[in-house]
Amino acid sequence: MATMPDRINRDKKDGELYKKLNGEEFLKFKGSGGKRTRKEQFFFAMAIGFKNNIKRPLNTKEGFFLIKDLLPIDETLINAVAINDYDSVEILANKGEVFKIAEEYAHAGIRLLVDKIESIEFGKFEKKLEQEIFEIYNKIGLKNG
Amino acid sequence: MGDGRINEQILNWIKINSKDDKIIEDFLKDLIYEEAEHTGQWRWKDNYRKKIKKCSDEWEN
Amino acid sequence: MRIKKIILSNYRQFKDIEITFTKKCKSDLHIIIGKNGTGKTNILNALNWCLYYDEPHLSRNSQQLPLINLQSVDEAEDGENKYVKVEVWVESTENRYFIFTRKAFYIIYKNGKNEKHPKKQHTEFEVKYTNEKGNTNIIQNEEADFFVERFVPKAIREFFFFDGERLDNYFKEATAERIRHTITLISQVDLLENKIERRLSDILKEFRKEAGKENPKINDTRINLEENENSFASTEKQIKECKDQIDIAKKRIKGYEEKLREIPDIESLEKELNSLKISKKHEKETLYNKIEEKQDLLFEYGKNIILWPAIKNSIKIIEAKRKNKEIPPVIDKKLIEGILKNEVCICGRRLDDNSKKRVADLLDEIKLSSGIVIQLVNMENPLYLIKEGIKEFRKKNYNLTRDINNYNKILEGIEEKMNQIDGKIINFNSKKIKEWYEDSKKFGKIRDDNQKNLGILEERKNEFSKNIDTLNEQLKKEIQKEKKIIKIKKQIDFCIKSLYIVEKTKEIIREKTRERIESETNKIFFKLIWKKRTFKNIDINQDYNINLIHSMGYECLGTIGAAERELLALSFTLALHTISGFDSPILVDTPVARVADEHRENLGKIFSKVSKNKQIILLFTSAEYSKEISKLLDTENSSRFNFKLSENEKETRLEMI
Repeated sequence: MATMPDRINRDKKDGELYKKLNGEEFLKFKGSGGKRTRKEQFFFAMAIGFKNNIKRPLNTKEGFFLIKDLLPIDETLINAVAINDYDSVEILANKGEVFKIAEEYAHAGIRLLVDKIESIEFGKFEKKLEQEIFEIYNKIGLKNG
Repeated sequence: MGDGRINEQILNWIKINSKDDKIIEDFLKDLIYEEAEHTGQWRWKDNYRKKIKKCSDEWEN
Repeated sequence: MRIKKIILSNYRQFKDIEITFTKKCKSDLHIIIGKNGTGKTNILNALNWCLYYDEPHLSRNSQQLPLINLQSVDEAEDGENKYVKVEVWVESTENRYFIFTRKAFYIIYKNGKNEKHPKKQHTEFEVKYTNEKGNTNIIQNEEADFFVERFVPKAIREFFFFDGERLDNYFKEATAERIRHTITLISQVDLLENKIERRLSDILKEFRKEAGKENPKINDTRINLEENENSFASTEKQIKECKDQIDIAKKRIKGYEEKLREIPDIESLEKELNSLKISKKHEKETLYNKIEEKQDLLFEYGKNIILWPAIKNSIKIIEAKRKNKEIPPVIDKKLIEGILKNEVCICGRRLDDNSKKRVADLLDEIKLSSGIVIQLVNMENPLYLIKEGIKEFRKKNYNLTRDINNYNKILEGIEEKMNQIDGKIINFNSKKIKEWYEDSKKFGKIRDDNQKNLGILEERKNEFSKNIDTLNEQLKKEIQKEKKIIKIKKQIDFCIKSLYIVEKTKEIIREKTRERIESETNKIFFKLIWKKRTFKNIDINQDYNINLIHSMGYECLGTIGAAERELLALSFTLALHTISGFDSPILVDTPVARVADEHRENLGKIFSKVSKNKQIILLFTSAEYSKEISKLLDTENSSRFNFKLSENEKETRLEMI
């Protein structure tokens, strides 16, 4: 197995974009109090990149948050994305590659996420996001019970 | 509104209109991101030519 | 979002005024009335200056004057510092506030003739925003512009803050280009059109030039093609200019009158008001808790829902591996590999040939390394939890949304009761009704008749287009024949296909936006029009020409009256608001100036109706606020103000009516 990285990276230029997430309260603050962590914002950006099936290699990397801050559920999501991307579980043997896939989805996704914020007036982002999520949800067809 | 912004709609339609031509699809998406990342003056011509040369070599019309 | 108040300090005619737009009834409609010259239009300019640092509606007179109020300059000592300030307070739907403040700093100097002159020093811009919990942040300069863009983006501000003349003129002939431009803006395909398409075209030209160098015939065709392309572009530009001619309105004359109204003061309602305030606070706290819960639900579950395809795939793989008994790991693959490598069993015995074969066969059966298997096993429970969570998402979201709506209804009820009590408590003094007659000014210009010109240009454009198609084909064949340029040929083909996809993408997105705007304009127009049976539908065709279709089937945009035309423009404007994602307030200067008296009431009804769902601020001239309009709007507005010029004409004061 390749050396285990100790942090998840972002592209240095994405710093400005993550700052813009702070202009939208839904992405800045937790409902239950406190601020959303970098990890949480990263996962959201990753999800948006995944949704649009687009990854971008990082140009200048900088550490964003530590691997040790990943909870089992976080690692599961990152692994699932990597397995889906590589189309095989063998990718799990190379954790460096697994994290790289997540980083590249997030690098592509953050720009799309910022566009979503900038394309709608204050106070309406959450509602629009809710509509989009329900559109996906209805297609999944998972029933309760 | 204005330059430097990309949205999901554009990416989606590029994919549909490329009709399984993955090379052109990825090329255009790459250009879109490059343009969004470089607002203002930048050496776009070299960048475009390099990408066109690389992609067209692999591409089947 | 709505404008709560505008504060002007030393801005042009306004030395020191604060205009508060409180929503007191169902209509969020606010009226400012002022004679010409009192500075009504400068409210529009003030808003633009604060948000975008320009004044697009400045009259010729005002252009000669400094930004800073003249009275203020008069009162200043030599060398004294003064500043101009415009502050716009905006509240969003969740009781968050944004305060946009722009200040321009001046020093007042006295010259040799004892005249005072202001000298501009610098300008500052900041945004203060307060969230629903009362926390305030201050943002300055470039970052502050980001907040302006999320209130009313600069590119589309003319659809929110505009002159009534625009409503009248928008759909007079030759507006297809304007509509196309608007739809392009809303579609957000700028990057595709202004960057990628242009740059790819430039590079394609270069490739063709390079191909031409190998063969003079190719070069000639290429040059010919370029010439035709240039002529095509220039003809298109001329057509655009032709279509952009605008006809301007007509004269009008009118006065207005006002009604007296008295509302008695009722003291005992104060107690009830206080009790309602306490209830409101309590219900609000509960509401915020629910909103916060929903936000967390959406954030956590939302990302999982988006990632569902990957999650589902992993669940499927793990289930399959369980079925095949690859999970859980019965045998450690690494251990077996070690045994085979060292040829020593775990009991210490050396492996003979038979044993080696058996161990090798066993190793073949173990497909996955134990490291991977452990990871897969560790993923099982979280994946299960995620799946179960997603199943419950709809129900949880529904419950929270229902609760939030209920609390909002309760709060609305409390708010309504409070407003009713407020209205009864405030004393209105009766005022005398004045009648004014003013000659309306003739303004506008006469539209050039370019139809003949337009026909010739269109024909020319078609000819160039045909030439371009023919030459493109010719060039393609010539390049194909030329063996020395196979690589460039491939690059040319690649560029052509890429350009085609970009063009197609742009057109599809623009087309979809056009359809949405057409649909929304129809919806709004037919909701608001007073002649429900006269018209059939509004059509914005693929060439971006707009047509209003009569119920008898013919196009009638050219023959409808000013009121219907203004309504159409307003419907289009409101449709743009919906499609653009920005539902900010509308501020209109001289909204009905070009409309005949008998139709002003209809337009007044429209504004009143629209203001039930959106804040509208209207700036009327005294003459414009005629009997017909005032009869309706006097009772339908949330606030009404009058502008009055001071005796020395250097200051405008505000009076609440």
